[in-house]
Amino acid sequence: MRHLPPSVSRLLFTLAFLCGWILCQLTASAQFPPPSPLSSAPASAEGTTRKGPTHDVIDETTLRGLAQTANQHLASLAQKTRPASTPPSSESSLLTSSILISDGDHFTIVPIGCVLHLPATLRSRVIPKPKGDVLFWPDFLKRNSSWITAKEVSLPMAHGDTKEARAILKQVETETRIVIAVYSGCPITILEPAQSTPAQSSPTSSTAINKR
Amino acid sequence: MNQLRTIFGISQLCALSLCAVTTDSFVRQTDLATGQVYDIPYTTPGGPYTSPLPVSDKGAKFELFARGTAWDTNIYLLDTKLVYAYAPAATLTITTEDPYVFGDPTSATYVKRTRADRPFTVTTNVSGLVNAAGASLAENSVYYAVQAMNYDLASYSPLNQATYPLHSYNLGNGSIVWGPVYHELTSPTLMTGCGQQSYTFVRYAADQVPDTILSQPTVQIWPVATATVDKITGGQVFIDRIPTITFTMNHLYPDSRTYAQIYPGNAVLGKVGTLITGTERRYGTTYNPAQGVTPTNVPQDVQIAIDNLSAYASADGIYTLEVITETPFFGRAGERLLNITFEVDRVISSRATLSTAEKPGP
Repeated sequence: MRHLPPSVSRLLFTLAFLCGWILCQLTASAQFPPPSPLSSAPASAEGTTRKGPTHDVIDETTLRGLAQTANQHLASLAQKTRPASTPPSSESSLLTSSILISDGDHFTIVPIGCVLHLPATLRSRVIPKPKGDVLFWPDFLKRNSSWITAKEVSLPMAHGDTKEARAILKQVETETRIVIAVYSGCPITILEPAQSTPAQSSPTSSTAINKR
Repeated sequence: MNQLRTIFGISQLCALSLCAVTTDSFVRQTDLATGQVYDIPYTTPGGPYTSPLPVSDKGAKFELFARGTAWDTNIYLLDTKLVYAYAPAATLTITTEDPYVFGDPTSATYVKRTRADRPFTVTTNVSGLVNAAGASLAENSVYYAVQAMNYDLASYSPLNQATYPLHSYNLGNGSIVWGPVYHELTSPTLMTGCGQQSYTFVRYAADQVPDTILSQPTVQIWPVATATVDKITGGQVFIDRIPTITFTMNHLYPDSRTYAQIYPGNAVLGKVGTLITGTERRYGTTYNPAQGVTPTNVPQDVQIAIDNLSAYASADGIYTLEVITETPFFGRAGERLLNITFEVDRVISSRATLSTAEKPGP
């Protein structure tokens, strides 16, 4: 094969290089298309345009320095107080002043001392600690009215009137459901008489369960 | 008179708190003389109502309880009021840069929140105590305790986490501004602080009235967000297509907007670049005003893969990739979580092609 003149060879080589370069650029642009106008435009956040960041997030060393300086004030402020030597209980008394009754899936909370009648077959319904989802009294009563009921009592009885208590207790003694004392529809503690004899004090089968 | 006091007490309780709770709540009235307990289910949020049970001469304690929402089946004490001959009043205000508040901030129990690197201020106000000489502890002081609890850093949950004490004092009448201070959680680092600090006022037991919580607000502390990206490092030169990269963004604040942006040139703080589509995450109603998105109450962790970064760096040159977050802090200005500067130099590929073409013939 005959050799081409040097000038023609250089021309052909230059043309080949240019074609290769153009092809390369076309390939690159096809492979990496520019982002759509939507993504390239600063997006708006809740109606505001994006703004550049004003600072870098803080680092641990700087934060420790700031916190140490700021929290030193706590010591000086403590001088305005008196030392607390005997911390009182900061726990709520809800559980210790309540009876918990469960239907297996839900439990409810009623005041301690409000169970008028607890049939032996339903003793397991009274649980020592919360289990399952809580359902407050009126909803729990509606859901479980087949085995729990409410008995309206007077205020004197709630305050320990034994005469009324005897009458009420006689009414519920044959009840097969758990009976909760309510006043105006709301569960209430039935107090024992202030000067009661053993024979007079809350003579219900549920006395033990009403105490914690 | 007693009935009037009942109305007053309950009205105060309700006006302060009930408007913010669900129907799953009840008021427990405890007679201070006899210990008799009376539970009043509360099914109509807001507005005063009258307790049918009168208040005895020794007074009564009213406690408002409610169950948590949705999955949270715990029962919370939302407010306490004593109707009593002398009853100390203790209020506490937590001031953070985040306007979020869960519950009624004028009640005894509410929740504020902040971020682990931001200071906050606690202001205590106590009144109604007796300053006379010979006054008992219950008459001249209320107990004030700061307790903390670390949450699980992966689930951000307080379940089964123990509380631990930070400070306790006896406070007299007056106001004290505690702050600005930073959180005191026992987290491995301050930046990863994740938990809560609770501030409890307790009236000391006296005259047959047991220890009574007067107020117990809480501030939640969420960790500082972090961002990393794989398959790309500072100063790296890409001579071909940039591989698929994955952003890992952790602890994104529950009220935040976070995104990645890219721009030509070296890193310049304050520069607005091109938002990389698919990287933006918005949490909270501020950043989702019209979408009805369920508010997020805990931080979020996300991983986002981007396979077309080359589309944002089509020309040879230097580029900077940044991750920016906007939160209630610093006036919702952007904070840079990450910045990486890299180079795209595809001409090297072209030169390699050229040198192959120049191979001399036989």
